[in-house]
Amino acid sequence: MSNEGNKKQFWKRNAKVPGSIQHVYGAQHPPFDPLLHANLIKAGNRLPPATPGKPKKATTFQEFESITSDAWDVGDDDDELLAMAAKNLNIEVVMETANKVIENHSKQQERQRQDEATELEQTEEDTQEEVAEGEDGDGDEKEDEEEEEEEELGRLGEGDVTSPEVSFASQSSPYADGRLVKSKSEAPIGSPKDAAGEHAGLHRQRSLPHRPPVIPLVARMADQNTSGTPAMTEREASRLDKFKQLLAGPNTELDELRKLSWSGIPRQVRPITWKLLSGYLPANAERRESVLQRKRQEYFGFIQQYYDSRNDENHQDTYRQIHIDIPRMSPDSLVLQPKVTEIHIDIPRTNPLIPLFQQASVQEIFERILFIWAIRHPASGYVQGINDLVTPFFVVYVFEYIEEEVENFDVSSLQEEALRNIEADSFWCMSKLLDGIQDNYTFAQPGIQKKVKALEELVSRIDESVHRHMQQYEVEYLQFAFRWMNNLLMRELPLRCTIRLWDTYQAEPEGFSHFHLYVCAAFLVRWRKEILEEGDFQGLMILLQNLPTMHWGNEEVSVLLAEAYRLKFAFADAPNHYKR
Amino acid sequence: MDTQGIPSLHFCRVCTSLVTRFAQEAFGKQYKQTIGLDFFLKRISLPGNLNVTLQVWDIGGQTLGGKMLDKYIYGAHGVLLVYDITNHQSFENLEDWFSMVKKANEESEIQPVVSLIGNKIDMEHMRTVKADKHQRFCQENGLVSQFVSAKTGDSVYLCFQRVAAEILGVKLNKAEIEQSQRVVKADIVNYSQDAAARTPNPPRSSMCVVQ
Repeated sequence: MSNEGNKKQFWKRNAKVPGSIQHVYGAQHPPFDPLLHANLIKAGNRLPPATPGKPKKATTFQEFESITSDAWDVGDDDDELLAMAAKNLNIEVVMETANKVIENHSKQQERQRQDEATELEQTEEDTQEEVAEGEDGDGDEKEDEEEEEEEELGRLGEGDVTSPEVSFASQSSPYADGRLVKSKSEAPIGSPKDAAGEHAGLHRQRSLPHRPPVIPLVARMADQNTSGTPAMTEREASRLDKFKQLLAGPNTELDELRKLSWSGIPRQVRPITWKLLSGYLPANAERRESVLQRKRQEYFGFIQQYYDSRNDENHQDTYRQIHIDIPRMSPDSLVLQPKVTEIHIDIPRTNPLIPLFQQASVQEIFERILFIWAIRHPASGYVQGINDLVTPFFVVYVFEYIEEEVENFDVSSLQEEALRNIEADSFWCMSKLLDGIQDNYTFAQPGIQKKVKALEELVSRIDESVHRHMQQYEVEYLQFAFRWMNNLLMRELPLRCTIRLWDTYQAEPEGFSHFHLYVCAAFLVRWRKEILEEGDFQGLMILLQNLPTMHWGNEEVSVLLAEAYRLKFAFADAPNHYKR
Repeated sequence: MDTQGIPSLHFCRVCTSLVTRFAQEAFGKQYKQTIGLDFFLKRISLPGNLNVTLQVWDIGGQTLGGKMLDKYIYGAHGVLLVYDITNHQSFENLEDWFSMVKKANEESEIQPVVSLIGNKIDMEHMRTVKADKHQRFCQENGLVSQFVSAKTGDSVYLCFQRVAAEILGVKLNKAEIEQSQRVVKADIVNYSQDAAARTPNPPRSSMCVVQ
């Protein structure tokens, strides 16, 4: 890190007694350092430019062309066509060109037909392969962090340094070598999306009226399909085998694991895979048990040391807020219920109270996790929305100890030991996740502001009609997408989908902090038909705040992810690509 | 972080509970934290067969620190500032919110009708914000003063109705006021769990916008 020195200084300057905890500052409170505070505000005023800042490394057109050269058909003969266009057009040339185009087109069509036939089944594998290729040169090792508080403070200092220029376009893609569009690029650029959209649209139309009275919330989330068939398909079984093989070795190849995980992790191996991918567990199998023990002990050490302070003057606001938020988060973060509005009044309301989250001991676990995290991260403190982020970890790690469905599971039937392990593991993994997106939750939530801006910019390029439609009715992206960023789409998707989404986020480098943006863009454009049908501000707002995803399963998430991947590839390294 | 809790299992942010109460006429059925912005529509009736559709924007507490508030309240016709009468801190926070509202609308042609709303009048015995303090703040700043209980639904409909009437320059007579007070019946409140003992006074206040 470039400002290592900076960090140190910062730490020294502000360090009081080791272990002394500053007052907690949330997203709405200015940080404690007045100097820094001033900087932050300044940085905030300098809004990121509407066009993304310049990329870290200036990319010349030639470079761009060369790294994306395989994105187009070899047979396209762009150069030849361009050269011909430069000549005076005579009828011969025109005819020749026309023939060429027709020939190319029919070839493409044929290929596309073949592709389409297999595409839906293959989407997952395709993307997986692409990722696999992309990650070859990408040895991003998780850095081992012990001094988290120090880093935390350092990061706070960094905020104002990086904030003005970071936008989705300026972040370098881990796939800079660009060897990987191949499979998708065969089809014309819009078509996978359209096909997917149509498919999903049909699916939705069919499923909406016949929505089952009780929608499974998390029970089937681990299945690889939404068909509800309990029996594993051959493919699923072989995937599970691959995971098991990989996990069995003395040293788990994390890159391999990421490749495999990108298209979903089987429920049986999800807990350990998540722990490995998040960097909580070491790749070396021998060390795992001792690391787990140490980390769990450390967490309960924090509890012992700090949890009693929750009623101190300094911390009571934080604790009180957490305490209020926990019980009421369960219904909606677990399933997105369409809110009853005049438009949606006809949709029958199921009451999705999941008994699991109504249990006092579960709520207490969440309170402890959030409180400890908050006081250890004074730069952000507890911010509403963070509470949601514990849920997927908790539910997945409960699965480590039970076989049955999680909804009606009584946690008191678990051994106390198991419950403590689940709690500590959830804490550490949530911490790892938040480390990567901390500027989402510091003062004025700059990370979110930037990402919403980036989303707007991106959507304006990939779907101008949607963008213009929203502009026409004065819908601001911030009005709906703030929540998308703040809660990582958890409020917009059923929990089973969030968990599937997180498989990929953990497999993807910078999944939560970067790839999420493309998922949001794909998600928005996914509703283009519905959006374009709305003819006023309120209709749009009601739609965007209540997107009908209740019936979504792995299939829909996979389509979304594939599209997001395509967008990321097309735009991450090419900030001006498709620029109007 | 502007949430208000009510000492029952039915946790709620004042504003959310108020709005939800209003929009769904049911308290405690389904609450969620407001993240960023929640948007509702509600049709109400005013004297003279005047039907009005309100766009209700429920604004999350994180907003105060961000730059988002302008986007939410610029051009609003009405703003409801809600605090908890049993929690003095929530009242104090309103000053921040109020100055933000004024600032956000500095350049707007329309100045919103702002109403100061003391919530939780069902908890009168735990009141920590004196009524005359409330009145003074209203007088000094030209706010419409109201008291409600989002939990029992007491005066909730009326409170939106009054602000709407004020915006449109319609006068509500006494009979109409009484009638709307009867419109919303108290719901069953579930005191079953021990939350009452554990959630005393959440600290923040919040705000809604009627547009």
